[in-house]
Amino acid sequence: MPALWPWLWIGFAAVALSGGAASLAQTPPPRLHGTFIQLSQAHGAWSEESWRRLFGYLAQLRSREIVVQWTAYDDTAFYPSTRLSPVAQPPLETILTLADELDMTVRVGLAHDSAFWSRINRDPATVAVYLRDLQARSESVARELVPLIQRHRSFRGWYITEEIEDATWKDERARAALFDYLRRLTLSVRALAPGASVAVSGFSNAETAPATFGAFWTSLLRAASIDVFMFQDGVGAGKQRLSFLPLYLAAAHEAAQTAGRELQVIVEVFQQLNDPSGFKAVPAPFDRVARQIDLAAMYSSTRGPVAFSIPDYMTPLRGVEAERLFQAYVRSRVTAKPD
Amino acid sequence: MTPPLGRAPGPIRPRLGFFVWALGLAVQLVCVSPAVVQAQRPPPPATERAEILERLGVASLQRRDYEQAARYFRAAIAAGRDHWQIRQNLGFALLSLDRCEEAVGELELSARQSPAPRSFVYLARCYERLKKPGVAIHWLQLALLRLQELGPTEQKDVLGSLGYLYSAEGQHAAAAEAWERALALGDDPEIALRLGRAQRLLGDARRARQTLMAIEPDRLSRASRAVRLDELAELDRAEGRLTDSIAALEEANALEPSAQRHHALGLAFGDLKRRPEAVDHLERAHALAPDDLGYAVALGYAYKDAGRLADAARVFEGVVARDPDRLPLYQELGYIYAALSDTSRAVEWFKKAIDNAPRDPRPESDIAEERARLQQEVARLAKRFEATAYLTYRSSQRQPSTGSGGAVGGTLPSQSGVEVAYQPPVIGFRDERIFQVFARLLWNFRPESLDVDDHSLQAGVGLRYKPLRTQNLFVSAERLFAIGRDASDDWLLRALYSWEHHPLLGKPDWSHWNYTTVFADVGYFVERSLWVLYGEARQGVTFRIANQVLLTPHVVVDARYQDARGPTDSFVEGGGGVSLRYLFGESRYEGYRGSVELLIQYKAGDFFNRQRGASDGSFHGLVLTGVLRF
Repeated sequence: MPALWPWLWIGFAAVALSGGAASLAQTPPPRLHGTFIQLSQAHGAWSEESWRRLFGYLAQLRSREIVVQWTAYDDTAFYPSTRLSPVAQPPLETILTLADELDMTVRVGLAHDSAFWSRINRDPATVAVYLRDLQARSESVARELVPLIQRHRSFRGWYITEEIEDATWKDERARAALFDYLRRLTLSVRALAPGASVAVSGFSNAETAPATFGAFWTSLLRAASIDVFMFQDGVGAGKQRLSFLPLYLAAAHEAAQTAGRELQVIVEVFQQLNDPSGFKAVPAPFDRVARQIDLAAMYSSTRGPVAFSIPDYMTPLRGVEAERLFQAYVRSRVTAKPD
Repeated sequence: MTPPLGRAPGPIRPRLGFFVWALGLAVQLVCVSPAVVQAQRPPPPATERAEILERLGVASLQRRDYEQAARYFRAAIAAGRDHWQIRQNLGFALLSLDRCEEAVGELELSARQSPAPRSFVYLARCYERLKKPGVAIHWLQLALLRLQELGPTEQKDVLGSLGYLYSAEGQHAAAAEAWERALALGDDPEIALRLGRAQRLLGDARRARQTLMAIEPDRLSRASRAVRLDELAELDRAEGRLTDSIAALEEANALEPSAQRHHALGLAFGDLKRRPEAVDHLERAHALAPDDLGYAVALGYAYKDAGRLADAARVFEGVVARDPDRLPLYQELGYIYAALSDTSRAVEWFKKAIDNAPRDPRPESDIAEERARLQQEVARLAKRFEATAYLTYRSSQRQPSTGSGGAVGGTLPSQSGVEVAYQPPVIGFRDERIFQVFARLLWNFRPESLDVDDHSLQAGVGLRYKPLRTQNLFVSAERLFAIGRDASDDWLLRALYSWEHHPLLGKPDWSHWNYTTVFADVGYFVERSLWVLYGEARQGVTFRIANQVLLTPHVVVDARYQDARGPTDSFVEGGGGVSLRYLFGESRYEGYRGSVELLIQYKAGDFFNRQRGASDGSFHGLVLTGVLRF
């Protein structure tokens, strides 16, 4: 039972932090280190000028790191592919080029299957088959990407697009299939680009206790050669609340530390709307985002947290509310903290 | 769902009034939570109105008028009376109204001001309802640290809930521990039932049975009585008492019929080989839960076991259409259609199964082995023509009249030959029964040379049939045509049997393996009323010296017997040698379609003399045989 006391402390810290980050006021407020970019069909029509505008805002926000969430979505490729159907103006090369110019780093996402969430909720034996398919698809995309990414110094590593949460993988067989999948995929993408690091993201629905969540991630990180565990804070999607988020952040941090890996927290800068027709979200209020960033910075590795996502919810390009969030962030976190 | 906590709301007793309440609060703060009291600021001064509002709230709680209670508590807080207990009571009122989103805010505030275990319990209950069981566990674990501050009923509820949540996480040992502690505080058949299940899942069948048998079924709800029987059935099944297991499941199903119980009954009847009952229950399970593909798969296998192959194929095809990741069903469909003599569909499904290899998550060696097996199936089913040619050279002056061509020669005395066989569509392969039309040309060489002995040229055309599914036995009828003067015009009726220890290629990851073959051939020449027997056995070890090259050192013994024989027609011989085999013509679906084999043997033997019952001469020498198959 004494082992529970650290969690008690974290619990109370959580409650305290959820009320505000007054204690952090003495030190310069932490910043977002970068952002995800979630590519869609619409990006296939973006001109270079559009990308330059976006990257201009990212530079204003002092973003240093870009995570391209995926480079293939089902059969659509966001790079010049011979195996998939590329969008009209594949944006990956432009993103890498602009990142080169602005001295940013880019983590490149592999293939994503839109049916992922429904297909992992099946018998573990069939999930293992499905994961083998995903592995083949991501490996194929990575092979096609290698010549392209090799030309850019901004390329930092790979991002495995499957998001891992704490509800699906409780079954031992499903868990074994997942670990095997990650082990195989990380090995093969490492072989393709030996210097590149590999990241995977996960979140908690608070389905399992923080200790269980942490133990799961410790096992996962030990099973697969993953360098960076990107923990989604889940606040925007309503999966986590600021009151108990620190419990899971601490568990994630401990898991990464135990396995000798890096933890990077993803801050959700949106607020999901309650819409049964599908995912809809609006930019989150800055005070909430500020508290998320403060929490995330406490647990993230030296590079600091990344946002999900600045292009969608935090630039003037996405409307008034996004501009409001952008301006509030600049005032509070950029202007207030000189470089 | 966790059963409701059995406690009265808030620490304030009815009709005792504010002073008693305040005294109780003071006692709790000073005696129970001294550390907290030291850390807390004194409650803010409250107006008399605020105190009255709070008391009204408490009274409303006692009346279970939670809506009113929440209003009074909020009004009291707004009037300046804000302390951890009023927040806790407000949180409880909101929890009781199932307004957990609001309740957690109040309860967390209360817990921040004073870490009272009851607040932790309420928070756990809220988060459970908000579908955040992980956070609920956290708060219950905190409550556990100060369990003694709660009443016995509340303690039991904390432990019972914690056990339930641990169990949902798959932490059965922790769940069992919590439930055991709960039961130590007081008997509870529902908790005992869960404990019994956890003990079974932990592999402690003896304790699980003890726990379950100690429960009086009448004290359980109807649904729980059925669950208890399910658990006992599982224990019986694990211990091999299938009949008892079925009896328990039938009783459970009578109490609470469900697809799951029909499924379990179907599997249990299947284990007892009671096929019709298995099918019946699995059909019911499938009808009750048509979207559960696991039930559909079980039904398909039950149909297959019951010999209802067409039904099995229909069900399996339905499953694969809905979930193409069910890989084992592809080859299952191949075998079913092969058994239904629908060769084209069987080949189609076997090919799909072969195509699935890259998606197969099993170890590479297993996949390769299965692929080789499936390729052999396709090769057998899809085969139309096969050809064999062999050539034997013997160095001895007196030599037997047969080579080492196996089935091509055999009863017919020949050292070399060519055979072409045709397997017609539809009737050529039906449920492992094979029908072929064949033609062959055989000849001998002159002793110690490769000059064809023209007088020995023999042709034949015939039909052959494999009547048994599992045994490699062929019967044939063949018209022989004499081309050379030493050959014969006759009808030859033949039975050939062969057996080998394992397929030609062994397992894909093997570097060497045992090699045993037995071949027997009985022939009857109708017009001459002549019986001929031939048999051969080889024993050796095959080495894979390259991917397509096999080397097999072996020993061999063979014998031929013929009525009314010529001087070299009956003999027994033995020796040793090596076989070097090169495989070629690999195809995606059929593996290697051809091979060239060089057989180098040294043999010694005796010719028979039936009339005198003694040998009429021995022989020995090198035997070189080349065999081409494709």
